[in-house]
Amino acid sequence: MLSSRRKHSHNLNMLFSQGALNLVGGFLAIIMWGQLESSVLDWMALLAILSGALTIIFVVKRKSPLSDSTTSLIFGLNLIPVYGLLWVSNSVSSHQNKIWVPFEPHELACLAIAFLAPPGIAIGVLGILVIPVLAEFQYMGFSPEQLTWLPAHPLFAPMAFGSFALILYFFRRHGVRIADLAAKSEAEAQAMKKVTHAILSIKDLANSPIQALTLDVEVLKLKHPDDVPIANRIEKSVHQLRDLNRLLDEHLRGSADASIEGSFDPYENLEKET
Amino acid sequence: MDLLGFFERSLEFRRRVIQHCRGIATYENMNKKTVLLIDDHEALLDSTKEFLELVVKVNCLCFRGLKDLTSGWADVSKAAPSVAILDINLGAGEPSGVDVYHWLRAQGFRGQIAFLTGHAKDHPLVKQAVQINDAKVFEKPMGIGDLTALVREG
Repeated sequence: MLSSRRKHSHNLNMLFSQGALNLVGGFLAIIMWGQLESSVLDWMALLAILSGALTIIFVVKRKSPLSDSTTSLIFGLNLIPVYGLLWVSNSVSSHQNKIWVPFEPHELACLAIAFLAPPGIAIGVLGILVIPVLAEFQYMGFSPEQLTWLPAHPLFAPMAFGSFALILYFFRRHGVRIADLAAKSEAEAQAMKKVTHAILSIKDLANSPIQALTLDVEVLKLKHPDDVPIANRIEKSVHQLRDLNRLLDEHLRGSADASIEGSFDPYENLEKET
Repeated sequence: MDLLGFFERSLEFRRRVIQHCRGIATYENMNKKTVLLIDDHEALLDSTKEFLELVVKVNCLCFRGLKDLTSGWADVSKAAPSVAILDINLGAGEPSGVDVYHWLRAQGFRGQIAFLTGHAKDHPLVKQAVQINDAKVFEKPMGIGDLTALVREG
């Protein structure tokens, strides 16, 4: 329960960060590539800003938790304007007829996806892999004249960053899984503590009547010898209750709660735990 | 006349026998051990008192907690109980059996003290009781044999 709540709040935080990056990235693209005077590039940047703003509004307005699949879907949709921006910026730059370094924003995008992608493996791996693949396709589409303006091995950087981002993503997923396990263990420990409190209270409530019955049976046998069969029947039932008590003791062994330091009201404890 | 004298003599004899028996009874009561019982469970107090008085032939003084005990302390010190049986959990907000133990010792109580508890042995309150060297700890429900031996030995 605790783990799931934590995961859902993590999903919202992740989408908020992605929305903020799209928003900032869109503005930076307009500033950086404004001199290229490409309307397609401006539209792509505006699309990134719009998707970022919508995501932030959605996250801020969202009151209920968000499932993993919805998070992955929104994350994937937010990546579309980013891919578009990466493609168009390089396409426009390749037509400048001057020396330029291609696929630079691809490296940053790979790392951003590795840091932000939801733990669902498909969206994370695909989101990263698409970037070097896009670079590869775009490189293959360059004319011999466009290629002359490029440095040697221009695909090396996006490939290296793609691989590095994949490793980083898997490492992050592993960390998230460990944090989930820790949260799950904590939730289990809390539940166990509740059960222990309840059993302690039940034991406290049950033991005094059992003790009283044990003594009353002896008194009954001595005072009313004719009623010994009745006393024996009561005694048998009391023995069964004592066995139950022993079982509860086994269950409680090593799990006593150190927070109980004084006398307590078992009824109040039971009400608190239910 | 003789018949009247016989009745008078028998009445006198009966009176003396009754007086003698009363004297023995008072003497027995005076020499009976007294056991101090402290538990917030009223039915258990009554059952323990009845059992001990009937089976072990001791007097019992019963209290429901430290507040109750302090107000009746004059009777307790007069009776000088040789054994005190204390429940550990004496109700929410009330001093525990361990607190009662310390109070009794502070008042100069020299008798045997035993704790009765419904909790597991590793419960913090029970651990505190176990650490007290001159007190015994029994788990509820305590066996008839253990209770009888405790009171007889005390």
